[in-house]
Amino acid sequence: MRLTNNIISKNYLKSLNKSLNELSQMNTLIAAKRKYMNFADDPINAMRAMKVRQNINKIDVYVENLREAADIFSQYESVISNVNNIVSDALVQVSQGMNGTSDATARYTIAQSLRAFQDAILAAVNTQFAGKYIFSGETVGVPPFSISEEEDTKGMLLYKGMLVDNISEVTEKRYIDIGLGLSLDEYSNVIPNTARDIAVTGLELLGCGVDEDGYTKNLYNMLGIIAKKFEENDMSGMDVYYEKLQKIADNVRVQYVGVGEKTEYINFFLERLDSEQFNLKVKQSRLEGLDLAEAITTFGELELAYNACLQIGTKILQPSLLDFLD
Amino acid sequence: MRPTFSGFEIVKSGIQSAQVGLDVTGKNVANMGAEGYSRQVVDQKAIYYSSSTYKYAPVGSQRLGQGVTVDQIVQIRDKFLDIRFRAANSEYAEFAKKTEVLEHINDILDETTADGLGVLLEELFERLQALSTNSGKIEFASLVRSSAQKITETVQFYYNKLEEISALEKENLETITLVNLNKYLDEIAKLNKTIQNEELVGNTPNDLYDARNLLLDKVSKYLKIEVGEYPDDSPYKGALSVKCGNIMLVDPAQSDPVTLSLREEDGKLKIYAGDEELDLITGEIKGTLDILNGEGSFAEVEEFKGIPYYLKSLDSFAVKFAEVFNSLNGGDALFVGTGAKDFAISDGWLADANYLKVTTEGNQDSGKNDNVLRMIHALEQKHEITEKFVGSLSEFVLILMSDAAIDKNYYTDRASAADTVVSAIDNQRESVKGVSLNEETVNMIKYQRAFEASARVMTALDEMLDIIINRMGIVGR
Repeated sequence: MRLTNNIISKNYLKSLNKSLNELSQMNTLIAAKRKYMNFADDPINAMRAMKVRQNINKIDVYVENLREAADIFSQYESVISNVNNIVSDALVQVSQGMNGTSDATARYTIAQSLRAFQDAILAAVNTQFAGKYIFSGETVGVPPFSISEEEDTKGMLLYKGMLVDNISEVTEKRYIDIGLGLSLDEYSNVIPNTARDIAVTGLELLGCGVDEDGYTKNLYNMLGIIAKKFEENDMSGMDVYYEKLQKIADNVRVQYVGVGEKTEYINFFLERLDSEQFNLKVKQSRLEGLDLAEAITTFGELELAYNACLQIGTKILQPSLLDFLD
Repeated sequence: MRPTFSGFEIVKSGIQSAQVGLDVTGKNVANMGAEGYSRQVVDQKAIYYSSSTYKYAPVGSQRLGQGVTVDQIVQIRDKFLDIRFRAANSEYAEFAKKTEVLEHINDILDETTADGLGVLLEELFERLQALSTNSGKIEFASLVRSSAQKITETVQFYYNKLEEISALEKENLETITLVNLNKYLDEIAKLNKTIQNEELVGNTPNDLYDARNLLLDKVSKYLKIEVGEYPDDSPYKGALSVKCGNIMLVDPAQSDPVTLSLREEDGKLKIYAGDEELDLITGEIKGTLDILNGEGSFAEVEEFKGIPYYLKSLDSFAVKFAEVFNSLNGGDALFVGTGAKDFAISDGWLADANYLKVTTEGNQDSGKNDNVLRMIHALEQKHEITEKFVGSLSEFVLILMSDAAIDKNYYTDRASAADTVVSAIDNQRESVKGVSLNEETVNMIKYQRAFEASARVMTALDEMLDIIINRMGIVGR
């Protein structure tokens, strides 16, 4: 090929520019510690990395939700433990009152302390945590329990305005999304196994409805009835009431154990998300992160190449036959 | 009989042609860096005397010719390389243009190192989740609202920025590209006439050829052109025709070249040559029009994803987003607008953060969160956002981002490949037509020596005559 000075200088400038470009690009990448700066530089990996980033953010959200649930359950646990203590005390008191040695005055005193237990229980199940009534099931914005002021049901416990003795089962659900693939059924309601139900009603703890013999299953009401009998010093059928109260106490303990299980589930899930998060972060750094050692070596090579290119420049563009004429 | 002074004439022609040779060498060196210059060489020929055609020609043994003549000064240029260069140049220009505009589009959509619509959708998701565990609390509801507001503003921002790019490209096409192109075509037509006249009187206007070729190179950046020549017996000999598709842009038979203009027809921009639509095959203008017209998958036949594709996508996104969330809010519109341009959150929501219904059952303050979960679900769920896309809203944003990125990546590669081809052909062309300093130095020495030699012959002839005139027949004087 016939070479002219113009070809040489044009090609030289082109290579020099290319070399400088590569150097500057590497410099930017190292400064940002990234494999690429634009989506367009590496679309496939960038796309993957973008999805990974979305998943990491989602897991952050799920972890946040689970922590919230864990907080609620731990609050729940401490309330139950309180109620459990109250029930144990109540059982002792009732059995003392039933004892033949107790007289009417002593029974009246016991009745008063049972009334006090009732108040303590009511306060416990109307507890607020972070502005939420945690025993209010799906409607955490409203205080769940109140006492009836009606003539015929005076002093009976109401759950959201309904007599607890008339409530046979609890169907309230309050779901949070913890990454189980939240889905809706044809009525736009959450499908239960795709989200976590964190609804807690005081009814499960205190009991609701009446049993097959027509006795209340509710702790508050039962204490009320027993207190009333003690006040009137009426010991007829007390054995049955005591037995029923014991059953209610058993239920409270069952709930105590149950909440422990729920907390455990949450912790298990948190751990799972944690390891998922870790895996995703490893993947992210593999997709986006720059291997600094390798990058700096490359940078060194590019720098050397650029310098060499510059050095050649002063030589390549100079001589022609013209320079050697006498 | 040999004429007495014949030798002087021969040597004079040698001296003169050596001078012309040196002149041409000087011109080549002087123009070494000039754009479009082709090196020139002196076409020297020995003068041959034919005794049969000339009445007074010497006959017989003295038929030894009459020195040298400069036949013409020719330029060295390969027409085939010109054709190849122009074809490659058109293609390169199209890809380079697309790469350039796609880079702007990427600057807007790319969220690799900056936050955009995708990140905002994630933020909305996060805040809806927070609202779902804290339903009924106004501070969480207002966080959701501010997230939604950012989304509407960002969609509008994207839309306006893209429109801005489109307007700038259109203006550039109309006020710079087409104006330049028309000017070039006009100059080519004028040069055609001048060259024809020069050739008629027997000149070889090398520098005008160079000027015309340079203009053709420039035109080839904008349009894919075919350059036609005329044979020696044609009345247009010396002129060149320029054709794009089937339309003659420069036709020597016409007094003026056609004027190219931009027109809008059925919402599409088109280039017209006079009253006919130009069929652009490749070139920078084709690249610009693809960017300005390309509706991608919105067109009946899938085409280039230009700015209209991104604008329509944003419209579809805004409409679907509003539709999904408005329908979940029980008749109270959360979002208003007919597309991306006027996408905004409704006045009702703006006035009251609790306008967003956290539950569909009863009191909004009760703490129920069923509707928030529906919204979270809607954000994750697949929707038919365009006729050809079914997926979640954030997937749609990601696809939009990757469309721009993949196209940019593709056209960057193609532009760089085309650039390599253009450079290679240009080097080949330069290798033929470029001025080589070494060669010119050799020529310089050559012509200088030729001049010296001729002058020496002249001296010898002079001395010979001196002998005849001054020293012959003076014996014994």
